[in-house]
Amino acid sequence: MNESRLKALITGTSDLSKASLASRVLLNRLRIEARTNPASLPQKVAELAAFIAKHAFAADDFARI
Amino acid sequence: MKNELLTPAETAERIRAGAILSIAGPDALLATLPRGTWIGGTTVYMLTEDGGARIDDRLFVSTFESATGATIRHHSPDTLPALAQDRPEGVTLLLIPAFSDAHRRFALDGTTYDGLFDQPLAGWITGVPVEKIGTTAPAIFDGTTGTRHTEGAMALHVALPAGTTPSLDIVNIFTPSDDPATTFTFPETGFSARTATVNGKTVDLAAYLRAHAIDTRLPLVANYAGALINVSFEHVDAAGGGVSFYAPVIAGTEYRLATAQPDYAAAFAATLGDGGEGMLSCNCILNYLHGDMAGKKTGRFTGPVTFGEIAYILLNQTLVKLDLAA
Repeated sequence: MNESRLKALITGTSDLSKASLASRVLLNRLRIEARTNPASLPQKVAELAAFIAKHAFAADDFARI
Repeated sequence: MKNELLTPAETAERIRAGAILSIAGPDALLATLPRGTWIGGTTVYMLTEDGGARIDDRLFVSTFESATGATIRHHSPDTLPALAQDRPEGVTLLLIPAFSDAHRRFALDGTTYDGLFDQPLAGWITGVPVEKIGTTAPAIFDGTTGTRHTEGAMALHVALPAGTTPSLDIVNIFTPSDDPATTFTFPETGFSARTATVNGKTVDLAAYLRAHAIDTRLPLVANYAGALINVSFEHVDAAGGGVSFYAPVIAGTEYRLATAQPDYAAAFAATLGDGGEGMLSCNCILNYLHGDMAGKKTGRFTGPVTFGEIAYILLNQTLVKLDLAA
């Protein structure tokens, strides 16, 4: 998943209704942090990218979007 | 996973046989158990296959039959951020006493803990009989030492066989209302609020709830990227002291009051279907009380009735289910 898609996910409001609870809760936290501090968006994108790279379940979750 | 209601003697026998256990029950019974590979938390309310009940003479024992090992750690509030470090591959069960500093800090900061989402983290907030709220502290037990704690968090890290893919999810019977008059955002994150924004206006929250006769037995519901997460009202101060909650509200997040639920037990039973056997689950004391669930069956999802549920984060009025066989 490229950086622009990750950025759109974090700044967006789309639901991940079919995703694991872990992915949904983490994405929600990243959205809140990016909303509260827009300058932190690159860090949040990096954190989400690392999470997806580390976990096969997360890769599946976000590939479905 | 095997879930059973056992006497203290039967539980002690199971412990001495070397089983890896999570045990829920009355404080006085947990205190009698021998040392072993178990953690315990206090509650006298249970959901059994015969229905919800207050049980003072037995323990709800969950045996991790497929576990290949376990590590038990007690974390103080200060070491709580390290709870997901150096744990075996599998699942973590976490017990935290209600009203403790660890309860508050996990709720506010838990999602930032390193590695928290790496594998399923389920658990519950321990409680007391409702008539003892404010006079008796909820407790957690470390079975390896026989130590009772009223502060911190008890983690049971369960190692599972390679290839096992446990799953953790929640069941929320509540749906958010579309009424803008019961849609709230809060200026600050926390367990209490004096004001909220409703329909673009800042209101005194306690006064607003009273003026609109809002049923505070219903939770506020937020949408976490597709997961409906409840926050329950604890107290509305009639003297203008604000409103407290059983979990934190998050600044800037939209919360909608849940629509009324006529029959909690039937809603759970209908949602859960025939599944549940062999799963670890817990449900909320507020559902038990407000939904009048004593004596009512909720399907095969049995387990402790708790003062808050944990599925990575602190939850209210929600059923948590952990399936090791997935």
